[in-house]
Amino acid sequence: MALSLTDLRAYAANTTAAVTVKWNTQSIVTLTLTPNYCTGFGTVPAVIGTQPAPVPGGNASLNGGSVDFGTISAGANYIYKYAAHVHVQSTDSNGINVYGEGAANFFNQNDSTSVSVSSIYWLTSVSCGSGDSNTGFSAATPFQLTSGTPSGTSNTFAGPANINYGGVYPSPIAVSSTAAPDFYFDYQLKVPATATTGKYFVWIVYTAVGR
Amino acid sequence: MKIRRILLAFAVAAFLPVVGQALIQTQRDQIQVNITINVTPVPLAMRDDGASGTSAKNIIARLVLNPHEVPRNFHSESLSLGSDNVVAQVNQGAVRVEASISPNPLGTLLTSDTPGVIFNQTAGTTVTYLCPYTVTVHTTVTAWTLEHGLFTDFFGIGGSFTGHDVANNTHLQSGTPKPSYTPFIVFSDGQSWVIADASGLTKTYCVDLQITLPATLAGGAYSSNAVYTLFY
Repeated sequence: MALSLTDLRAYAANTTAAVTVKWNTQSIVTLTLTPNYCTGFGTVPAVIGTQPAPVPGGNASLNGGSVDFGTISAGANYIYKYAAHVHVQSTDSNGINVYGEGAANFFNQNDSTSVSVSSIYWLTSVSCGSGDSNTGFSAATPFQLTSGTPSGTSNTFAGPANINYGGVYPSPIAVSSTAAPDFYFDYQLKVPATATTGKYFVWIVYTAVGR
Repeated sequence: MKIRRILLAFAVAAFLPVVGQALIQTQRDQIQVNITINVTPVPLAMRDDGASGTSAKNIIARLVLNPHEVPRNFHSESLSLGSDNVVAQVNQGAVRVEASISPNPLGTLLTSDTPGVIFNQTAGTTVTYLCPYTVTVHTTVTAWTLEHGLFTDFFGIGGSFTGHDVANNTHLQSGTPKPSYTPFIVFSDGQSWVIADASGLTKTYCVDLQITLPATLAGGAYSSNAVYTLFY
């Protein structure tokens, strides 16, 4: 930053004075989110033993689209493999925190009811080609409904979705002491037995902040 | 001798249906209930060494506001900010999760009243949670077996702890709790599922939990899945 400050009284005396200026800079953080980041993405029912082949829903596509579980049953449990890859580039040498939350609850477009976004769970996965051994029974943590302020389009199917945290963040779902980490996530969906029939959606928002 | 043989044959005949029933029962349904524990780490204790006063001898530096300081105003004629220092940060991204939910072909054969429970607990403490979730077998079958256990130990971004630290007291919701709690088995540690109950018809069970957290556990969320499997 180029900055020039001059004491007005210095003009009269035709002299100059040295001024020390200090400021704090905010780290530059860039987040890149890639859904369905590896071949083999898709839905697998929770079964013990030999795992069925993943089958994504129609709105999922390699390196894009939605995390689409397709048609699933109420009261049943599923895992979605290779759901999301989060890459962060930061100038913060202390590393970064990553937050992941639901912008709303899991909304049924057919009857306008909702089930909790905490019916969707995240668990760490692996980079493409490393072999994802997670199953529908692997330990996973529920997404929480944000206590930040979602953008107006966060409740629409088309989105996009953003959350304004106002500087108050929840517990991170991932942390890194390096400036350019990668995080890989699978999702689980534990459909409540009371969920009504219909097409559901929710936006999961990831936020990266320097530590 | 003959009477003894008759008694033995009678005993075998009486026992066979029990063994046979256990052997021929097949898995009919399986559900899981997620258990997530938000752990608060043990707070650091403050040492009281009696030297916390603010007497003059403890003060090694002092800031004093100079009331006679003359305000100095500065004027900037051509202040410029380098464009590389002020940027619109792209520090958020969102993914849409969607699903078409249809009725379960098995109906309500085996259900829980919630897909998961969340507790907030401090490391190093033991807390009992009464009936945080229920498990219901809904059937007209008169003889069934319900097995349960944890699929894995508890994992979080701060580490892990054994699933044996979580004990359960699984009892009929209409009845009274058992006298003691039993640690969950952990399937992925090589242990076999255990029978929660062998009964018949429709039954609802309360699952009381007693969670003991290691004192050294780092803060954060830890989770595992309790699995329930119905056979008949």
